[in-house]
Amino acid sequence: MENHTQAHTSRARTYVITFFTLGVLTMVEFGAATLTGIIKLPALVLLATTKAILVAGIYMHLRYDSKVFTTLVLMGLFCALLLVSIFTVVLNINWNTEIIAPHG
Amino acid sequence: MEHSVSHSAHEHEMGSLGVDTKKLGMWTFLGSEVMLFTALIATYLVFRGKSVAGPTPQEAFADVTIVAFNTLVLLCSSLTMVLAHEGVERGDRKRFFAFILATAALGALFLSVQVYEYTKLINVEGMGLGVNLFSASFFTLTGFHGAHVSIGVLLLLITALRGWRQGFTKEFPLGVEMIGLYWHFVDLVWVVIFTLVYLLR
Amino acid sequence: MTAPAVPMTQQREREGLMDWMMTVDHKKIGILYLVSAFAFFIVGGIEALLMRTQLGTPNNTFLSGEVYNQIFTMHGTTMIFLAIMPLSVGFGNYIVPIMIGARDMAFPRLNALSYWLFLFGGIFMYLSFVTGGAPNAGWFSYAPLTETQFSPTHGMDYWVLGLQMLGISSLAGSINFIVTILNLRAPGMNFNRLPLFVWMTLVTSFLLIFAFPSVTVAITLLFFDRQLGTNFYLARQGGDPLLWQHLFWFFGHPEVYIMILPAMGIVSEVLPTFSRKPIFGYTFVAYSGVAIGFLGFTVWAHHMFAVGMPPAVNAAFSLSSMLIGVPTGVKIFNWIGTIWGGNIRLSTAMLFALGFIAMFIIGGISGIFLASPPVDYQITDTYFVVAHLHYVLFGGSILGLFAGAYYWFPKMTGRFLNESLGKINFWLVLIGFNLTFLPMHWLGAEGMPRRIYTYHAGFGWDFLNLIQTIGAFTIALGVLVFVYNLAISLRAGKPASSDPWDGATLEWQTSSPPPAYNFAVLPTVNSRRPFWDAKHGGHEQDSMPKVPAGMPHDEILVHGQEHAFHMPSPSIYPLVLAFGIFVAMFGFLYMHDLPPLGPLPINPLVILLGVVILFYAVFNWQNEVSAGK
Repeated sequence: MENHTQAHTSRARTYVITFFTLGVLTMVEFGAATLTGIIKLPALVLLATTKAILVAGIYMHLRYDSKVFTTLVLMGLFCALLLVSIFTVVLNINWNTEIIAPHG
Repeated sequence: MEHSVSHSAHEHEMGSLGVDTKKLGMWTFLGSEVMLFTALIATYLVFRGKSVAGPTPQEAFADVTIVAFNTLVLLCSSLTMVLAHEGVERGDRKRFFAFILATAALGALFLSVQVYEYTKLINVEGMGLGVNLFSASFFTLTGFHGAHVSIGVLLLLITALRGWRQGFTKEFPLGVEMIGLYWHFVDLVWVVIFTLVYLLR
Repeated sequence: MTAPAVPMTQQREREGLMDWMMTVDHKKIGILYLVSAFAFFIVGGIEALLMRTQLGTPNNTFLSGEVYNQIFTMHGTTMIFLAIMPLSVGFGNYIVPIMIGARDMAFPRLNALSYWLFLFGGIFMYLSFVTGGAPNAGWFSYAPLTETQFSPTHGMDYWVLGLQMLGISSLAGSINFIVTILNLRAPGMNFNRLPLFVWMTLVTSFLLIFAFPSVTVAITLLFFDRQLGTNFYLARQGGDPLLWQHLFWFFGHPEVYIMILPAMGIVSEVLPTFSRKPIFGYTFVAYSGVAIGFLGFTVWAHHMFAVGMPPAVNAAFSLSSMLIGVPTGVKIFNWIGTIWGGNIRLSTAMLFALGFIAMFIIGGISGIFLASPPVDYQITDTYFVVAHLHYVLFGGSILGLFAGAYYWFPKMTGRFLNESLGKINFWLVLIGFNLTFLPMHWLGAEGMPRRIYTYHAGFGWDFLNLIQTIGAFTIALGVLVFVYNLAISLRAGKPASSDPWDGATLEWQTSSPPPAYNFAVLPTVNSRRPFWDAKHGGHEQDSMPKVPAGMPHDEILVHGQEHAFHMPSPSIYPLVLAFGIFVAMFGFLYMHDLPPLGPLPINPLVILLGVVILFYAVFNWQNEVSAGK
């Protein structure tokens, strides 16, 4: 029972640490949003991906749970990447982070 | 069922893949939800710079105070959600009810702030479904997300009520874990929306 | 071995209609799916006959252009969403759990909900005919034809909201299949021993869960355009009709494989049984199905070569489309390899399976034509495309489903379908099919556009069109023979044993029809052909490693010692829940034009009523679950 409680305490600590890490990353994102030029998009995507991995890996237990669940999510992400990347080409998604003015 | 092989502290129905059946169902559903939000986000990205009339994302999201607050709210709710799950696994009733109700409250707060944000965007910035494509795809995307949050709040309250009325049955921790998965997924979608909609403006 | 277990039933048996409305038994739900989908198939067939009657002679006035548009839209929608898909789901529901040695689907009530949503969704769409006009923009509903400006009746709204219901139904059904197949396999039934029909159902379910959300979003945007004043697909406001096409075909092409893969699975079961050989190249057949599913996501824009995408994009999609020919060809060679040197019995099921291979090859080859952009420019939107798609979906899916019907009817009813009538049925359908659709290749190449409601005499199209109409009625005659066969065989068909075809898979191990719990003792599987080995001694030196993929063995013993297992109890609430959604949909549909009832606006009230019914159902469903039922 002793071990049991300890395991739970350490788990709760991991959750709290994750929470603060996510908070800090969000702050950094606000900073990255003020960047200009080619670096802004990759910086933002990298930060958001890190946050997503933390949420899925720790809060949703993917790190500790069966790899089946991770595989399911990766299959969905594969289709998602496919859709977004091809839409970028065929529907001209504008990834430009500078001012988008109405063109009319 | 007392004899069944259980790899975890609580009751699971391990199937031929060695995972719990209900949890596998939830993850399969979330896999599908990934594509739902992908299609919505792609629509937003296609349209955000193609409006023939204003306002533009730059004008509408010049001030991110509200959305920063809401991001914090959702972030906190994810923490309270995992702590609620941890509470139920420990069998700590007080901890569980405190944290699951806090999660529901934070979800409700998120929704209220979103309604406030919407009214501000409509009344001050002049956005609206029929105004331009940016507005329409923004409201569709965040509206779908908000609908998911609303369903989540409802499910959280139902789960809390079940725990209250029936106590912590054998299946209960799994139920909490499943609603937790859903809740974190909705939070995760917000991480993406926050970056691609509000920061990549 | 342990003693056979006895099922625990908590409730007295209900009889008649109530029993069917409350059932959560995967076999009964399977039959409900098959019967309803077959009814929709007949309706879709009647629509096809109406079209062929109109097109049989030039300058015909049998149908007006407006009605013709509605009929061809509903023909496509019906055949795809209300006939072929649910027929495959019906067979899957009935057969898959038995094939993998399970007692039911993973979520029996969710399974019932899927069925009722499908039925209500179908009825909802068809109500459009009596409430002011059916949808009229084709099953693919290209924007901006679907916008209120060009389609002012409520037909498209019925289509959108009906499709939403069918989407929820398919999603729930697919999750159920995936979880069942992954997690409910009997001990020893590992992925290398999974029957091919189960493999194909698994791939199909994955395609559905990842492809359907895309069209869910597409139709939601369309509904907002029509009802809430957005401009997603209206070019004049900067909207993009091509977004519709991309979102739609991102779903629409995997959808093609969703319709063909289950039929391929059926054929992969029928051919070995009636050739008395194991399937040739099991691994290749299974993994080529996976490859088709995977590649199926990368080819969608080949439906859109002519819309003006950059040449590099066209070339890429052309390449990936032709690549799909490889795994498909692998399958065909494996089927031929299966028959080769076999001890062939030409039963009706086998004839349909052979017909499937032949017709599907023709459809596949015309598909290669269409995968080439220069050729596609010439024949897109002509009858060549109609010919191609019917060779794949009728010559493929429907013939495969007929094979399944003759193959599994004895299992489902304990009686054979009449074989003589079956052969008449087969030849009428096969000949009628080719009379109808083969000439379309020539008409298409000569430039006859699809979706036209009439044509002038003197284009040289008259004779072939007449032949096609005669062919269509020949198919109808064949289907009538099938209906007659069903009717007489149900009552007085030759009784079938539990294993009428000398089958190899687990469904033949249990009685015909199987008991509610399928197996008294869950089987343990040691090979790909578990029942064959049980009957004929089998090969003990199995090349497959004997890894128990199912439950740990000690757990089986525990279950056996209990001598009892829990069967899910029937429930009315899946039906009630589906009905709640059905009611709410009317509120959304008449968002703007229901008159207020005195001071009360009626439309939110209808939505509210639906939501109340929905919550009532959810609440009681939840309570039943909590009460341990």
